[in-house]
Amino acid sequence: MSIQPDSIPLMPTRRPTLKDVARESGYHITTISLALRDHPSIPETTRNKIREIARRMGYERNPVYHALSRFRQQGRVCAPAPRIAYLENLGLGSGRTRPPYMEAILGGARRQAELLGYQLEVLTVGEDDHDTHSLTAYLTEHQISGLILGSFIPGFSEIALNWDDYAVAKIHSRHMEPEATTVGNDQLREVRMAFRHLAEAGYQRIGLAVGRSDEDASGHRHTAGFLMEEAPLPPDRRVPPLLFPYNISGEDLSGMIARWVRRHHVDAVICNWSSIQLLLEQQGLKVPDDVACATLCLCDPAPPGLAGVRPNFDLVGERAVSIVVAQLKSAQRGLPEFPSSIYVQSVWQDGPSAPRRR
Amino acid sequence: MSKVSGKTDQAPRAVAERSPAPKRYHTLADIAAKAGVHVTTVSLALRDHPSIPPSTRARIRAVAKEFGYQRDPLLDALNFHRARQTQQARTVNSAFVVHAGTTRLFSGAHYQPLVYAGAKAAAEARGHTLDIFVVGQGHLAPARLNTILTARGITGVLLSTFEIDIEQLDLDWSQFCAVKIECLHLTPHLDAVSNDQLQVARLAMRRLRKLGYRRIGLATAREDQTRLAESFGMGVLIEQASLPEAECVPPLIFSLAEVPELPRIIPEWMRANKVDVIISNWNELFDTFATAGIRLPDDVAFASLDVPPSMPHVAGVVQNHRLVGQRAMEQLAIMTDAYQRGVPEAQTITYIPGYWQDGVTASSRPHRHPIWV
Repeated sequence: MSIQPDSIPLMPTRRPTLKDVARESGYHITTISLALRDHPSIPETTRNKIREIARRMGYERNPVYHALSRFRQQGRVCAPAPRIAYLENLGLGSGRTRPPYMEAILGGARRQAELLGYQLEVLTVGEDDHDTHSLTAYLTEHQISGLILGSFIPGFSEIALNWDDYAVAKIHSRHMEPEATTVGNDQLREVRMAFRHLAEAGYQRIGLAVGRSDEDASGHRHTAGFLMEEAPLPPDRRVPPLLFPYNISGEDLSGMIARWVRRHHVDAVICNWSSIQLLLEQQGLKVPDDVACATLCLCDPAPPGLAGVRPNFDLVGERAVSIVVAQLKSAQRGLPEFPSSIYVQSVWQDGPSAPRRR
Repeated sequence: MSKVSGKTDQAPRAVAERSPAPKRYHTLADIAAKAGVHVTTVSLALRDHPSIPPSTRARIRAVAKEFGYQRDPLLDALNFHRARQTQQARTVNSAFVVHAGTTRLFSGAHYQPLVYAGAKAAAEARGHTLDIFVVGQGHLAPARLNTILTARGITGVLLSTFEIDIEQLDLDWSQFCAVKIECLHLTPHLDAVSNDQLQVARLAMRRLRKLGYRRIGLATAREDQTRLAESFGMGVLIEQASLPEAECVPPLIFSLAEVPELPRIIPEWMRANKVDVIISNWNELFDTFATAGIRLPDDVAFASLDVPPSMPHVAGVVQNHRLVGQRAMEQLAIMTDAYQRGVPEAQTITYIPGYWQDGVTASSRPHRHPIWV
């Protein structure tokens, strides 16, 4: 269990305090305090002047000290548990449901948020959900400054927030802005791991079938791993990867994969869809007699007997929360100059869908 | 008139009778009272400190759950601010472990000193120290290192730069919080921080193509490919996948044993593949070009995949070695604070991107007559 945030700034610049504003403006600290709270005892011109200086210096009320002073006055913390927004674009409002792997990521994020004392609130963007404008208004109104972009699907709605105002982490979503710290499972190593297990089990013509959408969201890491594994093979043993289009129906995909398997004499399919065995069998290809298969996305409830890679989706969600919390804790906002990419490693699981070849 | 208390006609205040207001939330002290342990024990137990027996930790956690105890993020943040402002009572010492075979890399134009500087700066920002330990031939044996670290109370270990023939480092990992810097080949599978070599190669390919180059050739050592999990090669392959076939140059992968032959091998490969720009992490190729009489950028352009700070005129990608060291140390500090010792159940790898630098070795004007036409 990793319960701790990932990145803390080395030397964050100190945020200006009331004292700094007092020094800068030449007024006493209590005058500053009253003026910024719009107290009528301070002449309006002075209030405006002080507010202008405070704004220029980037003074912001520190929510931690604020909550603490309320605690001292009233014996309890009045500030509500801070919230982190978990944004999605899969169209929940339009009646679509979250696939199991997204549930697993969200589950990990929820547990971690709770452990660290934060509330995680799922907000959706889309035609029937929030747009950029209403989302910004909502975040402002509810004083939410921590954001997680949870596995945005390419081709669906996108958002453009003023990222400087938020602590942000992305899960996958490499096809879109912002350039924030990104967490994900390691598709590149997963494909290589699957390829090596299948090659080791005796398969000669291993093919990769992934959706363009997932390929874009991962930054082309599926094909990068696959091409590297194929590179040492003689050209006639290489199978071209099948990149299937956005939003393809199961039926169309089934036909497309079967044609590709037959044309290239594929003997083992690596696919990121966990329904791969069903898709092959719908077209009269028997698994594993005609063709073996392995998925890159074993995630419960997984089809029985399916071999493949089991990513640690919970941990992906956990890490994303930890990164945002680390930023919130140190009052950091905005995007890093050099955003890191964090990949959680996965494990291989054998199964009857890809038995050792006799 | 007596001033002795109790003689006034006022009734004593009925403190005992007044029922306490129900507590809105519970603190560590409440849990300590209920569990019959000291409050510091509760604090340590909830942070999974190894000094508290696992059974006690479980019992205290159960009490905390029953009370609905929750960490308060606001107080957490306050602690964070206070810790930054006050001197730590206790210095935390961490170890920066390198292999004897690689100590030569800690001098001259190599990048390892930058990694160490980044890690050291991050350690010092927290009031930690970071000392270098060398293991291997003629230096410490792993068992001896284990003893020294334990004796000095060092629990944080950064592993840096092990050659690929060292496949394993045997320490009693359950005692240590550890992060690897690169050396992904080395077991155990600890969390690791690395330069994003895949992104570096892709960035170089894209920038050079924008500059007008059409025959971009990667030259690197087989040993580097192995050490870096073939990241450079994969970056080139994935970019070539979306280029016309006429632009796909097969990489030149040479072994370290072939290095003396490079003045012959490089021109042959260039000619056979009509290379218009070479990309490589080998800045030593400048010597090869001089020996072979290759003029830059007239005969061929060059972009480094690891531009050293001492070569501001060279085009290529600058890798953030300092940031790699810094991030590794930050992660180690977090693990040390949380007592996360041992080998993690699932390894995570953090990659730090590099950035492009223009330079005279690959000017913005490509060859007027590409030599491969």
